[in-house]
Amino acid sequence: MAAIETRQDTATVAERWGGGRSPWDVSWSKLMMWLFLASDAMTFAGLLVALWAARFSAPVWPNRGEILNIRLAAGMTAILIFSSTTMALTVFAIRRGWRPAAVRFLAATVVAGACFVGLQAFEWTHLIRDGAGLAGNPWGVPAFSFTFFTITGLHGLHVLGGVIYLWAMAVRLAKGLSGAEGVEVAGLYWGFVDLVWVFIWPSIYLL
Amino acid sequence: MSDAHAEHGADETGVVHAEPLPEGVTRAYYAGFILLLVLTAIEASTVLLFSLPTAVRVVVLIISASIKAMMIGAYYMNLKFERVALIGIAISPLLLAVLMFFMIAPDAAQHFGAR
Repeated sequence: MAAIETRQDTATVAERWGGGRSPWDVSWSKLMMWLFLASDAMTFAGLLVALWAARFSAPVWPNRGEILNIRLAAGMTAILIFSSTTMALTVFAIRRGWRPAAVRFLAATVVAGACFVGLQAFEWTHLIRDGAGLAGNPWGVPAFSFTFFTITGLHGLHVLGGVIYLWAMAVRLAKGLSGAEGVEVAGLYWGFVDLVWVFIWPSIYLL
Repeated sequence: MSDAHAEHGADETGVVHAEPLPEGVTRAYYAGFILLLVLTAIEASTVLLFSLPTAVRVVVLIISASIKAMMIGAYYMNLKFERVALIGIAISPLLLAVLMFFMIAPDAAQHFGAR
């Protein structure tokens, strides 16, 4: 009996992976986005581990509270959380077929994302005016500003790319050119951008 | 539409049509929004309001970040409604990151000790 069940299981697995259907019952676009996000997550993980290795091996590390604006960064975090919520509501609305509501939620997500990028540009401008750069800074630990600009810069590029992506998606959605699947895939990307910030925010600003 | 596609809701172009999410999930989104804001405020307060010992602050921040990551992954990225294999893909980078950290940390700490 057990042997029969094993053969049946094997047949099912072979059938699922034999082509002509998605082995995990998800669309190719969603699966590819997940694989992209997994590889991108490893890039950010590598950078954060490098930050911590640099901090462990540095005898002193500048006081972030005196250099970075923690309140501004907390506000940026809240904006990103708000945008993730509106993005999730966009996916919910379009999967119910409520296209106008989905467009409105998506537009709110784009505006919040643009605000985040704007505040980050403001923060960078202040630090650069204070003399911080990739190669050095007035606080005597070059790794501090190097890791700050590299990690927040890569994340900021992701947010900026996401704003453009979601803007294009909102236009396509309003014209009826995109459906629930495309919006959901875009939502995965935006959720990832927020997820990465969950680890960047304490690592850079709070510890 | 072929039978193979029809079995899992895909049309002839291979697009799998998503089912509507449960009605109650919007309550989870709003509750998640409030919870994430509260956790962010707690995180910020460890620096802005309280002068906690570093070890305590590290523990608070790790717990808070873990809860936030789970909330975002489960609800905002809809992993709660996905297949286990997809959840495995999503979690694998985190496990690799933790492994990488523990592989590098002893060397970094030794380097610090040498100074």
